[in-house]
Amino acid sequence: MSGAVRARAGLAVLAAWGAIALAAPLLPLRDPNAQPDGLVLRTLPPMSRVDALVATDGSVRYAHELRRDPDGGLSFRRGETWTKVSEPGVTPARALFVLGTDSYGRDLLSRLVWGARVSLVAGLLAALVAVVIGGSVGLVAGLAGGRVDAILMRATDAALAIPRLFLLLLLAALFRPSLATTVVLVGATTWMAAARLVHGEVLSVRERDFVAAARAAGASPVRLGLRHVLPHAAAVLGVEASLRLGQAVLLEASLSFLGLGVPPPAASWGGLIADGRDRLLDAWWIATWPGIALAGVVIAASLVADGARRRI
Amino acid sequence: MLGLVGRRLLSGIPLVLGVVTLTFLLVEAAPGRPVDLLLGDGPVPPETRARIEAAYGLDRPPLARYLTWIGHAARGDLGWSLSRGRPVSRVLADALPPTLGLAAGALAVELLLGVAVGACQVIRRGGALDAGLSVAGLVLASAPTFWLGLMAILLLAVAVPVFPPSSAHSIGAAAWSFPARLADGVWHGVLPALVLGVPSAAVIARFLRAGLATALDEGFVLAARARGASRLRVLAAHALPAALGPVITLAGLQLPMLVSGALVVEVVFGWPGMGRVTYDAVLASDLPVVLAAVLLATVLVVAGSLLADVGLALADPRVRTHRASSR
Repeated sequence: MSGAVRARAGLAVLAAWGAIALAAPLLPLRDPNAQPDGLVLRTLPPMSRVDALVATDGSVRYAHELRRDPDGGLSFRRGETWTKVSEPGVTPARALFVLGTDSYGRDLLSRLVWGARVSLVAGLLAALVAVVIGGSVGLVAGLAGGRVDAILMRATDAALAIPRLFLLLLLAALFRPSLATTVVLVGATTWMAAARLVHGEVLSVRERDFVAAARAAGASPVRLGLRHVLPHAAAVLGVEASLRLGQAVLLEASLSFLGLGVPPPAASWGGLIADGRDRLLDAWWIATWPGIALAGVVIAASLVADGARRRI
Repeated sequence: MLGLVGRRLLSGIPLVLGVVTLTFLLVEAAPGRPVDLLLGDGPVPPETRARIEAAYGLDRPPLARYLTWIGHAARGDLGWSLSRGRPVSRVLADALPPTLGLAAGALAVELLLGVAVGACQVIRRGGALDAGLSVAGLVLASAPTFWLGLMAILLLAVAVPVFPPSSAHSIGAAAWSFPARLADGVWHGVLPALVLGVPSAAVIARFLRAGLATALDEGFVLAARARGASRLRVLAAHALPAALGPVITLAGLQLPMLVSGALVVEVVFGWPGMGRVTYDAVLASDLPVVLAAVLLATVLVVAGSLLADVGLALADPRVRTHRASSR
């Protein structure tokens, strides 16, 4: 596979997950957080079919077994007890759980899809925060030069040397975890690469004629930076943003896995893996699907970044 | 060489000081007061509150507490662990050896496996093995560490019970002789070290493959080949040393990630190291331990990158002379 094909495949994977995440409310999925029947539905393996009873109002009851009584009525079994269906209009059905269920009987397919919303939104916003912070630091340092430049870039180097997860744990201990804090914290600890890249780009265009011309024409420092210098760093920033997206999704997942990210019952991929951790021995599927989805998104993001880098 | 070590040590001091300051500011900026973490959620009479604040020195102005914290930390006094009822320095001293052991194991996996795989790929450049290893590396480097850990437990400790799934020692190992205990610990550490080291090894392999491929096209390699040196000798004795420099630098740059990754791996495998201690401390709102752990983790990274620089200078004479002439 050539680089361009790989980049396109990565883009397709990202676009597909983005579309799935956007369309989640429209898809015919069960409620991701509902626990309709812990007894019948808990830890069903993938592709399980379960007997169900659909009432006239569309509500569904699940059962271990259904039977026709001699009098033509319908009975269902949950655990050891048989119950006769008394209300009229109830029809038997078979419910399919494509990816299985977790230990509370929640549908893993809908949790995976709704989890994509949380994980991808968190990753995207965190990547944005990182690129904006890093881009500003790099731009200001490069344009200001001298002592400001030295201090800002030293601070960037120093920030790179701090083990990120330890700092994130400290922050999680101090600030109550939520989607917003997770996004800000992940962004605020991953901006350094963007700062270095933009700094390098700014240094290479700072002395060019068009910058001098703009300055001579009386452009303010802000206008100079945003309108004349920043566009030249846009390509590098784009590559960094796609790379950062994958890493931010991973970092959010690590935090959620540790129980310090997006709080439950909201499904995020890291949280789903954490759910499956305790059932690893008897229900491998709970942790497996979100792991594959996560790795897929990260690989796709790095393929896209590789492809974009090759083009510039 | 000594000058290099000295300069790097000196440049590490502001960094560590910066981290101390940053963590202190974060604690100050956090909502609520530290004493609330101590007291929990129950109702507490104001005078008890004031007495506890005074006992822990929390009623003093921030600057005074900042200077005290730096002064004490510099002397190795990191405070008192609230959840464990022991000095923080003792808690971390117990947790440091397992973490260092795990990191050393992971580093060995990273470098040995990374170099071996990268070299294999260059020997079979363009072949199926090369492509397969590239794809496997991409997948392994992209998968979340904690998920890799869980899958490794599932496959290598449960489905095929080769390695112990969790903890750092067997039940009853405390009564064994020291060598037996050590061997037991190493045996328990194989799986965590693999999970921690393999993703980094994939990154190393990728860089080494690119570096070796470039080096093989260089004049001195051509010259060695013209002299009739064997393929293996050309690769191992001529191309590899030239390609190894960036790999060592890369390994140094990956140290913060390794230390961060160790945290997750320790939690997954129940490994009683710094990451596990920090995680438990966060859950128990044991702020002194968390603060000290962030500090210690940073010191570890600074020390590690110093070692990487020294290693680089030892491996590549050009670095030594360049540094000396640029001084």
